[in-house]
Amino acid sequence: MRQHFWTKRRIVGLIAAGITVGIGLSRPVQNMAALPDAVMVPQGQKVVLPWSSWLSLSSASVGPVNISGNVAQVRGMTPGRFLLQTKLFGWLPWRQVPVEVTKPIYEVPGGESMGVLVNTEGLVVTQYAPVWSHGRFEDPAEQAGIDKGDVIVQVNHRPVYSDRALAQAVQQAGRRHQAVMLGVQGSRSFHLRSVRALWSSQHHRWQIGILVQDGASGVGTLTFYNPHSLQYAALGHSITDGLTRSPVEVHSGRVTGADIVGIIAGTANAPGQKIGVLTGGQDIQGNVRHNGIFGITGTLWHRPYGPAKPLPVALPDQVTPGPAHIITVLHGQRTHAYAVRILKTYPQWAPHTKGLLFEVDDPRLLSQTGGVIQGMSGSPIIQNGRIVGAVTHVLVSRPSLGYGCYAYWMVKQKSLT
Amino acid sequence: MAGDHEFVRHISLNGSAERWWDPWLIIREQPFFYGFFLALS
Repeated sequence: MRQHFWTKRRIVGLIAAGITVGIGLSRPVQNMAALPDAVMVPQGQKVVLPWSSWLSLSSASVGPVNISGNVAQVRGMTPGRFLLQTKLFGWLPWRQVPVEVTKPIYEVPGGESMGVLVNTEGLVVTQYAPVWSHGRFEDPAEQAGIDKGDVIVQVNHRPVYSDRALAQAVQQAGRRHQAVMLGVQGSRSFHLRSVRALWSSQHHRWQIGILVQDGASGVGTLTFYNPHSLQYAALGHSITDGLTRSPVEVHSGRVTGADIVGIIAGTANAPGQKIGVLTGGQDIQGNVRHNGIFGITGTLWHRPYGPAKPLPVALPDQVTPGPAHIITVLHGQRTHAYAVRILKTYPQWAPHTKGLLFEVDDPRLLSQTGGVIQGMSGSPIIQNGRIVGAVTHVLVSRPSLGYGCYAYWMVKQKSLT
Repeated sequence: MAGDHEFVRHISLNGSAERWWDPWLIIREQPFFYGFFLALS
């Protein structure tokens, strides 16, 4: 049996498989796979790319590139585009990597607390609310095939943006003993659902048996804004609906100043929170145009009070483990810088939310908040005079540890929207 | 081992919880846990 198993073909096959896996896991192949699809370099700065000893550059690409071992440094000399044409083993044409040398990106770091109020595109069904009618509970919406997490985008073939508009349509349909026609965007497809309204003898009005959410609000932090266009980025992570955890589509929204009136300190397994009161048009005012994975973007209507010194935005590979600070508000509207230590940076050549892990070092912040708390999201992280990222997540079990995203991806998201 | 799953539970700051595995953090926080699996392998 054993002799049968170890046939010559099988042994050769196993050795070939071992060699293939070995080559696949080797450093040169791993580095070739890690070479990004495109590279952006700010003028006057350089980026470091993973490089493979099996690769070489064609003569046309050599100018601004310095190869040393397993890394290649690309210098941003003059603004424009060029191609890195690579060759495998010096002769086989391999990949072409476009390099774009951009003007350095400067933004004014924020840190101010802000109230965020958004109206979602459509109404998110958050719960069933059975209707007490004719002596029993009924679920007309559930019976009509509406699921929790669905988004109602039309009522009687017209777009709907507020729960009040839906309630009015339901009352009208109920009085006429007609069904209300809902256009529902499910997780996969759009469909029309006809739902009959029932008279609730508990609440004395017509109901269809669902609770919906037409907006979201909360306290976040301004990350940075452009000193010329006043376009801003804030929050660092998307506003998600409470049920499906997917980013909500923003129909309209605004940001306003917030006064921090209290702090609930975080403890293990109980994240803390800033308590904010929205203020008038004195400080921060603006719209919300987009809600993406790196937070919200929009335009401020006027420059926030305080110094407006622009700082360069770091590329992900310019961020290193070591001391840094975050800017945030703990009382009133006054921003302060607090010391943190970046423990780990995650190499990224494409946008991804988990960029860096940091630990709060500052005793003032630790004593007042326990570390990172809700409402701090979007607080800019500054290192070596550059805006490197924004606070996005806190570890529930260790509130002194937090995650941040790279500021560069927030700039990219802002410029695309 | 106690509470090892807690090291990878995160909460984004608008209150929604997310989970992800961060091997680096687990190794940093739980060297024994990592050593155990290293020994097994």
